[in-house]
Amino acid sequence: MIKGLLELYRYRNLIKMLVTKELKARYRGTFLGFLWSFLNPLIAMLSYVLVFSVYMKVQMENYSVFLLSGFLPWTWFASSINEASKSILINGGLIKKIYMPTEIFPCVYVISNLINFLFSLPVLLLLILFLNLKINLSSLLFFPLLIIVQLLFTAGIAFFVSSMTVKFRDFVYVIPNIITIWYFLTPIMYPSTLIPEKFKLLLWLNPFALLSIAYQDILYYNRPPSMQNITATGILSLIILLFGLTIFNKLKGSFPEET
Amino acid sequence: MMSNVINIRGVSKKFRHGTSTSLKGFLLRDMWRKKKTPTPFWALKDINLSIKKGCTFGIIGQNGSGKSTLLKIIAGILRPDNGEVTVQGNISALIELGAGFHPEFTGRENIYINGMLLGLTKKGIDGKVDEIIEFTGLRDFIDEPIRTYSSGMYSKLGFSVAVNVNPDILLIDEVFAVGDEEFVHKCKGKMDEFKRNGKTIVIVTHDLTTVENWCDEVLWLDKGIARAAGEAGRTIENYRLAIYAKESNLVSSQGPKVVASNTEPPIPIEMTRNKKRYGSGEIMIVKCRMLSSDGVEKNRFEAGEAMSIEMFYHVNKPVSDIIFGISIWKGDGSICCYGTNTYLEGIKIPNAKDSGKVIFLIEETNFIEGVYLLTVSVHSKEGYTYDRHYQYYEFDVTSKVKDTGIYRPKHRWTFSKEAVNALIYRD
Repeated sequence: MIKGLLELYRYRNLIKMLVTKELKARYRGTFLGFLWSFLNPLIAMLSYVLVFSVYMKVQMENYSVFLLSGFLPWTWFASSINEASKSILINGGLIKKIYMPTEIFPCVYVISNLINFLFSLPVLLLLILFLNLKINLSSLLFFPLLIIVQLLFTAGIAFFVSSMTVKFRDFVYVIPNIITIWYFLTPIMYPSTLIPEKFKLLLWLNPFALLSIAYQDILYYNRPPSMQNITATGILSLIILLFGLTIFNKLKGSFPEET
Repeated sequence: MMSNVINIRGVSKKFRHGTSTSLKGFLLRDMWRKKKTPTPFWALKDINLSIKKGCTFGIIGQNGSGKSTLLKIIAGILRPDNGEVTVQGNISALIELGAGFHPEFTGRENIYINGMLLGLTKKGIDGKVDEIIEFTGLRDFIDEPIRTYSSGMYSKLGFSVAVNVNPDILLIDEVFAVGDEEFVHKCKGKMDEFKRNGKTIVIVTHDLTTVENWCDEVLWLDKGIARAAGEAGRTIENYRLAIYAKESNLVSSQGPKVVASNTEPPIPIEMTRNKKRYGSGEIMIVKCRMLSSDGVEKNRFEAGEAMSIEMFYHVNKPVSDIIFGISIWKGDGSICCYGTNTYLEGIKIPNAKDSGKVIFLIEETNFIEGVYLLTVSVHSKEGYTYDRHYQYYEFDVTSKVKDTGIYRPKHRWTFSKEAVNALIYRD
């Protein structure tokens, strides 16, 4: 496993190249090009605002900011997992023909979506400025920490799903469904305080819930997130990463034969 | 002092049939059973091999003999189930040209991606990119997305990157037949350069001629087992003999008894045949057929029978310089029995516009019994190929007489006592 990670470092140029390729390929040939990185979350946000703030008259100040502060990190996570789950299968042709550490492929999708996430942040920041809201600069210092925790967490699950889809093809269809259910169970479009007491267990079992609450604390509630929660999620993410890598390592020997 | 750069000790590889499980299958069956029982198929069994530095090494064998599997194990793509492989030096493996190309990116960008896949650093490619582009001969197109490339251009780009990675060990799997003659020539030149620089090359191929021309040593694989290894000439000879023996066994065990003949056993066409079609396409030969004297299309001729070869051509782009040529080869593609073209015979081509038909009439097929291959082509005086169907068509010649050679001059035997006497008295 350590060897695999060292090789990943040796191939960092390739990862960089593939991430660039992934980002460029995403919008190449489109008229608006990179603007889609801003437009996608903006359009999603507008529909949520229409449904929740206008139709359903949810009484929440600046709902758009609340929504985006959880929605943007979630998009990073969900797209990474959906794309990574197919990454080994899609690149089967390559894996059969060229020697390289296969860990590269899930990593590429996690990183390219991270960059996409970072590029979508200005939308949220502009919105905050536009609505004349305040952000506590000292709590903003927690932001990079959250990104690191989420990176470990996302990578761990990406390693797990990318290798499992090779063994069990059904996972290709199972994963998007799990992601959708997971999204509804995570306090992103609603605040965690709305969850009834007897369902609170579901919240604590959901590692992404704590992350999303922390993001909302920083960007919407303008307060420092709970350090205790971040630490817990951080440790859990490390365990998930180790678990994902172990499974990946067990299965990767058969990739050239089974993809 | 020659040292071994590749050492293979007791390597075996098995493939399991149907290992990829469905979730349903797993939940209903496999989870409850102690052992899974798909029968393993041994692609390689206990292979031992050492390849010296600077050696050009060929791996031969029929389809499914495990050649490519062995190459992938050397490349580190597949892991052996038993045994171990040690390799000294960096490897560039040409298992398939252009693996990892992205159609939306330009040729130049793909050179970078492909180079890195093959283990180069960005800096390393920066220093080489001009050389690579020069080698492709595609400088005018290099900044176009490669989805606009023809498949020939695609292969050229792939080959150029792979050979310019400058590895210590080059692994090649049947990737010689790319591009036009000029490019193939360039590639062979590059290979010569590799050999001169003392690099190690491992070639997997069906094409025994390539192996004969290039390799110092050869491994012969048969159903995953090493049948023989060693000096190229002898090993290839043994291989050929074994294939002939197998073929003639096959023939004699089937159907009517074959009359014993003193001619050579038939050469297995599929083993050595080098059928291909290429050209720039200004003029295309759209159809080619062989007819008997009464106009019936066929590909089995009695020796001495007339045969007309009809080529239907279509002009896509008018060119002034047109030469039609044909050649007839022995069935194994090794020897050209006869070749000619309209330029050599000083024949002016009448109006070659739109489309038309060229007939090449052989009044008597004076060949010995056997299988023959036909090449037809249309090209310019300088040898610029518009369209060539190389060893593309096959025909049989049957004969009651089992004579040998490659050509049967029209002949007869006469006997005259007188002549003999005259000779005797003269001496």
